[in-house]
Amino acid sequence: MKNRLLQKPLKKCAVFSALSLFAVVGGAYAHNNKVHSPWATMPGNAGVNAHASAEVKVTGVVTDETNLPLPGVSVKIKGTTIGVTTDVNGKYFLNADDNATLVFSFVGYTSKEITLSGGRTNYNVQLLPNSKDLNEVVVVGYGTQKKANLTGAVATISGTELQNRPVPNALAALQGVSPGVTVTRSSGQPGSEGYGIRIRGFSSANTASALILVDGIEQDLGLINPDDIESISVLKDAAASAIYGARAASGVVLVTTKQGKAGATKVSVSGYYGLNITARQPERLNSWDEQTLIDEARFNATGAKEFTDEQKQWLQNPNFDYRPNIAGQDRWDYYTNTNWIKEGMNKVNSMKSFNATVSGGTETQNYLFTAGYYQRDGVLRYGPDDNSRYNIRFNFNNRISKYVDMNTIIGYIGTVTNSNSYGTSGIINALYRIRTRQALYTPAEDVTGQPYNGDLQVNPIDIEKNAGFQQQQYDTFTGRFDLGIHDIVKGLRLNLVATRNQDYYANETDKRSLYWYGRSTNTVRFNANVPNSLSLTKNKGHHDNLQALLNYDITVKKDHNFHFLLGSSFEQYRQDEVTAGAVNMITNDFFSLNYGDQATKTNSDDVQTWALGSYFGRMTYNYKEKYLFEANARYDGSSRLAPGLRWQMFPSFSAGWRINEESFLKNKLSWLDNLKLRVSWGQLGNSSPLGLYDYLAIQNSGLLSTSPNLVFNNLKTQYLYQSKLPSSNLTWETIQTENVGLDVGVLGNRLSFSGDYYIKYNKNMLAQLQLPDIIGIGTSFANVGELKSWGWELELKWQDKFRNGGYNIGFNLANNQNKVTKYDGKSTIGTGGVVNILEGYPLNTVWGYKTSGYFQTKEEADAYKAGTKYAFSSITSAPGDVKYLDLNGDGIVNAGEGTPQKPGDLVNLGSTNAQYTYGINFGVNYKGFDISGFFQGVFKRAFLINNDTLDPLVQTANLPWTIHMDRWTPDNPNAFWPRMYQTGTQNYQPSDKWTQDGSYIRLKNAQIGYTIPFNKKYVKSMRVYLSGQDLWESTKVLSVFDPEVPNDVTAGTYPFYRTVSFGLNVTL
Amino acid sequence: MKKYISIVSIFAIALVYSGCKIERLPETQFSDAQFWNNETDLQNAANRLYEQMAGYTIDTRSDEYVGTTPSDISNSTRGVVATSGDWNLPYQQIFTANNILEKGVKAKVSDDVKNRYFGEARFFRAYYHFMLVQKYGDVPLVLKTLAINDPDLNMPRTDREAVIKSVYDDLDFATTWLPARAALPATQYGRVTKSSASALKARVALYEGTWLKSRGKAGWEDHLQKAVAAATFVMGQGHSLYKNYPGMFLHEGEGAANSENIFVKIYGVNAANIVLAHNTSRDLENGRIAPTRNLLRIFNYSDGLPAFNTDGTELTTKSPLFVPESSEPSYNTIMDNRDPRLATVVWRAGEVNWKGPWVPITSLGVRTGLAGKKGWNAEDWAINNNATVDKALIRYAEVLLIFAEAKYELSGAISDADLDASINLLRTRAVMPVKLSNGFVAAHNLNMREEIRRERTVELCLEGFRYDDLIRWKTAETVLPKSLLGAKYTVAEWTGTNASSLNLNPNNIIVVEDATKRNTFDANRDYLYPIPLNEISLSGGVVKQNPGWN
Repeated sequence: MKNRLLQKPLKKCAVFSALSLFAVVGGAYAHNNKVHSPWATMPGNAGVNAHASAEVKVTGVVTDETNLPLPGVSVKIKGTTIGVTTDVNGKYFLNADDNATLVFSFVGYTSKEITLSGGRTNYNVQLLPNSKDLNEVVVVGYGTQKKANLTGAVATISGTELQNRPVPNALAALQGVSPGVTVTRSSGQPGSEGYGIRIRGFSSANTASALILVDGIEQDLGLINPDDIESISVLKDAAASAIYGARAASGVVLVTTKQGKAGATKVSVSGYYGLNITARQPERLNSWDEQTLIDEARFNATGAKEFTDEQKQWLQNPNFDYRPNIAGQDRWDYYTNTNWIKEGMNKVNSMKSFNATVSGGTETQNYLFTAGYYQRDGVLRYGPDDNSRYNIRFNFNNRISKYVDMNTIIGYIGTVTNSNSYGTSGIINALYRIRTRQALYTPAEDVTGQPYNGDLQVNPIDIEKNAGFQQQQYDTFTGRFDLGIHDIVKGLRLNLVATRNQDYYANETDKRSLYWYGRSTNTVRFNANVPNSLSLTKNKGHHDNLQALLNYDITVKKDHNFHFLLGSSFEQYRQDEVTAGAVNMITNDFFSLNYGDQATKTNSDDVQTWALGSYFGRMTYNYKEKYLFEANARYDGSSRLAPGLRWQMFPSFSAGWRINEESFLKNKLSWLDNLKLRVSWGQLGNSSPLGLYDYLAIQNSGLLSTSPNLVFNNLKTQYLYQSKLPSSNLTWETIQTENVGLDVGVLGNRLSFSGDYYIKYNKNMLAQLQLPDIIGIGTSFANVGELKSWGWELELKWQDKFRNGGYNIGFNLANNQNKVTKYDGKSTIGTGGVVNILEGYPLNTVWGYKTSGYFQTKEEADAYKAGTKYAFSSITSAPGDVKYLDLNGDGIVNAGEGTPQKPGDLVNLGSTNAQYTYGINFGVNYKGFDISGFFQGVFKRAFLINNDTLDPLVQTANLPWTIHMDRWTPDNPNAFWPRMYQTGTQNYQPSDKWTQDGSYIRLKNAQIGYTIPFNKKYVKSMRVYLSGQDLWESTKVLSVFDPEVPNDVTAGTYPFYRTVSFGLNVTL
Repeated sequence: MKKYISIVSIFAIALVYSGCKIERLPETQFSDAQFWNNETDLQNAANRLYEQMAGYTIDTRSDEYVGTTPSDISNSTRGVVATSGDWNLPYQQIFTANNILEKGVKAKVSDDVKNRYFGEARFFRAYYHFMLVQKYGDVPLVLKTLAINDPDLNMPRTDREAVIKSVYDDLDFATTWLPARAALPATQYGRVTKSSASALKARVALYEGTWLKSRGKAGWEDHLQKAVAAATFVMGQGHSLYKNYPGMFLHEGEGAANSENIFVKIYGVNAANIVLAHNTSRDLENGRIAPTRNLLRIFNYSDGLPAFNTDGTELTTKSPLFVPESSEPSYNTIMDNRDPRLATVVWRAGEVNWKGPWVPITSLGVRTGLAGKKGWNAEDWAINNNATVDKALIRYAEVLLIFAEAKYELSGAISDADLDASINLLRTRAVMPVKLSNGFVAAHNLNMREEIRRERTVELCLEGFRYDDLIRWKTAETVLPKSLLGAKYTVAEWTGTNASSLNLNPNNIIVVEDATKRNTFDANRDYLYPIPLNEISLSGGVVKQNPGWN
């Protein structure tokens, strides 16, 4: 094909660049070695050359703030390069002049100087950690900055805040930790939890996931081991994230992994074992109560019940469970009572995680190696339902010469998710939909040879055990090589960075055929997975990134500090996928393409590619670190856009004023440590809704497994079709962000406050236009909307120490609101429900009718309905039916013209967007004990439950649950649920009655730990802890659903769980 | 050393900065630019029309059969919806047709070849526009693809007359350029022919002519003349009826060898190689196609005389073979001494079907207690969801019925010769002992129009015609509010069923849905569907709602 040929030179180009880069790296290294040994001049190794004259032997132990020995501390004689480092036990030996000054320094700790005197030779020194806030260095886009000098909105989260939580991954641990950072999940299924992260609410109506870079490599944070993380920076505003241009609109999350430190080899291991306890799930009725509701529903709808009173008696009779069908059918009739949920789901499941870290090295060469394992079982009682993950990471920093250093990171992540080939949600749905009067097993007299009964519905237990499995394996290898060349000109640094993320995905689905017979094998009552089938998907992807970064620091006239960054990057992605399938295996127990039916084998391939070219720069300037200014710009070009529309510039500007540095405050208010005002403006791009080739009219093949089939001439036949119109002039969404922020630190920075207010304008939001259906085809995205979103966030922290301990308490609160200001003039609310994009309203608004309880008498219903029709149904209303209000008094409860201007009787009942999200955390440690707790919640949210799930018997198989027993009957006039009614939706229209109040507060995590005092010689530290996740919540959401569920939750949703875990951290 | 490092650094920066090209093109899909060149391309594009076309559908909108739950159209309790497949699916298929007509122009093939595929596209464009008119009346007539900013997206509804005129134009073009049935290669069986296009035109013309006539509106004659002409054209194309009535709906009646097939949705290939399947045989078992007594009543007795009219009303003079419902001694009585086709439509008690001898039952959703038989294939039933028997969407029998009805409606009379050339061919095939003639009608004081309608209702029962017929005859207001009735309950035959679990009327006949729950048919509203609300709101109110639906 022509296209494939065209691609080749392009691929070569990228490969060539990568090779060149490595050639540079290698060359520099080799060259250095030839000249002279690179180590000789390195200060850290000076101990080897230490020489002395008229000197004393000085010795001592360096300890940290907890009085533990601190190895690897650099001890230097001031004004020389002579020095040593402390050993494993924190000890040092040094020859020095008897009046020399020693400088003790260690990363993360405040340096200390001691002048020798009086011939004393023993100096024990305690180093204290850097004052956290102001001197802290924060990771920002393509570099680091002193926190004090930041002008953008950047939240930093230390790795320790995420540790020891029994959560599946790093993303899960982030929830509620920082204001404005919302973590969502859609399911409790192992490996398919559906975690998402949203920073500062919505910037767009489209999926706008934050750009997540782990050591500069775009990766799924959901796969990262929380234990590997040193720190996380969340870039929230344009000032901070404009350097990432077209992909930064939803915020950027920069994850930095732990690095090796100079010092003796340090080994630490940790692990936990946890129990997941299913929380808030629907419960089934016993068979006679279930039958009561079924009969009520049938009687109300048709005038006839399904069962006679005698049959209902049989259900309650424990000695009468089945009989041969006396209507002469080849079946058994069942009158038993099976607790399907208990039979099919475990209430308690286990999870475990183990990690080991080894690190060590010198100032010039150090390393850190970690390995982690995580595993979690799911709720299904039988068969495959679990997820496991392996993380390995090796970080190696090597200072090759005075001018050259080379940092290498190599990582591997492997995950395996096992599930049932029938589909986990299909099984859970079946457990909720099968009649409780159906027995689990066939009667003893049954001659079909099948143990499991599938008379009325498919048997979910048989499916769990025997329907085959699906295994998804994902392996990703990442490498990052960063060659730094610096100080050839003073203050100038060049970094050449190459990264690759190469991944492999494999999916195997083996569908075993199952049959359920009547009383003889002549009658197949039901079957599943017929014919049996195998499908395989394999893909290989690689994501390359080449960067060149030039940094230049210069100070002019002492007080004018400049920093310049100039960079370019080229990224490309390619994924090759092949899928193959076969049906009708020779045996039901062996699955290989080799044994499939030749005539019906399927295969297909899919290649996905994109490329992104970028140039970017940053200038920061400050005067006496008092007045701060920063400008960023990025110029991006993407393959996803039509030629001619590919390149766009994204600028930002920001400024800061450190008021506390002003002479009128400095040293005058001793309690004021920090007072900073920040403002920023910038434009960011969002490209996540862009497809790969949206500007082309693609012809799809009818032979793909996803396409419906066509038969001609007794053969599966090809057809070609276009599924959507091309969008030839679409471009990035441009989101303009304005931010103003205030940082305050007082009382020795024990109390700190940070607040931000922001406004974001999405000036050309991509959306699929709401068009009349006469268009007859799907449409691509087009830049047709405008969205304004705004909000504020604040964080308040207090931390203090007391004798033998300390404590901290923190509170954060964020509010985000948005409004669609333009949507090509067209909006529809249809007949109610959740409307995603509606001009003049926030995204995802809920629309429904107002209700006023139930009709209590026939007279009441008749009188009301005589003057008020329901447009959604002509079913005659009866006692126990919902009374909908005719708000506009036109005699009919309807949706008017379906527009917000003429909504009939529909009203806006809120939005599914969480508003006012908050987190509260506290911690105390005393001697060896520590206790911490973390609450998290949402003050305002509305959502709907899927109507098929809410409305019992809307389809015959949608059975009622225990909650539905509280239904309207003449004896229960104040019921929660309306009268039962088969296949009628009239009582379950979107309305205030059914809109869920999604506000909640929940104890997200609580921990209690104890650090066991050991002889430091053998064990440096050992902590045991008990940790609980999602232990408690308070909410008004319908009791059988978790408050964190997404809108339109269904019965098949995998339940969420509470976790209690026991863990151990040991450092040797 | 500094110098060397500087040089390699500059070299490296230059390399990265030189930038690589960011152009990426799809590698596993091609675009319009590489398509629409030759006949294969046209055929592959036209194949999409056949893939999109519906085959078996369950249609419980009328009174002839019910599903497991009440139909809100049949009982007139439906409301206005935001979007509807009844509206958007036809327009999706119309897009496919218009896209072929616009882009196929560039293909480098002869006009004959091009026009053949354009003929297919126009056939389907007509088919779906007509489907829309049947449901909604006036609908936007879409004869081109619409870009997202095309002002015509907000077009108002086009008058039904103009839509139908366009349908005729499309079908005339298709009749001209499509191959004749006899000229269609066997490997292309299933593609539309001159017969398909002309038969569809006859269907449209009969519908439109009788719709106007029954409403006292002018212009019906022209449509009925077109119906006669188009039907006559098809009758000259060498078609004949399949040798037996039930076999038409079984695997034996599939394929080009059975020339009763005029327009067919092909399923297949077979149970061992399921490519495209439906579930009809299981639907029959599980009560999703459960015939009603209302349908059974319409069939003639074997003496050629009826007891009930096609609008559900009772005749004062009934066939002497009629047994009053109060005195039916058995479940099977209503099936005794009837038009032989009845025995191929429902199972008798004791007849061996899916579960051995049929024992009447209402559980598992068979709400009428009557089990459907027409089109039940044992091999299709054996495996759930995997029935592969083809579905004839237009069969020759319908053309004969169109011919007879249009002839009669045009002049209020039909000759015995025309009856022999149409309805009596069906009766002969069905082994019905009595023929329809003007003499027989006169002798028994029957109504010729009613007998022609009866023949149509009986011959085409359970095939999805009844609802549209009630609408065009304007008899829905009489038929739909009536109770839906099922089988006769007798203790002896209903083994295992307790009468107290059944809703029986005083004659011990199952009341499936009582008239009191079906009496909301509004003649000023329910002859047309409500326009989906989104079409109104998104057109800014340019598209107007049908009367009564607000």
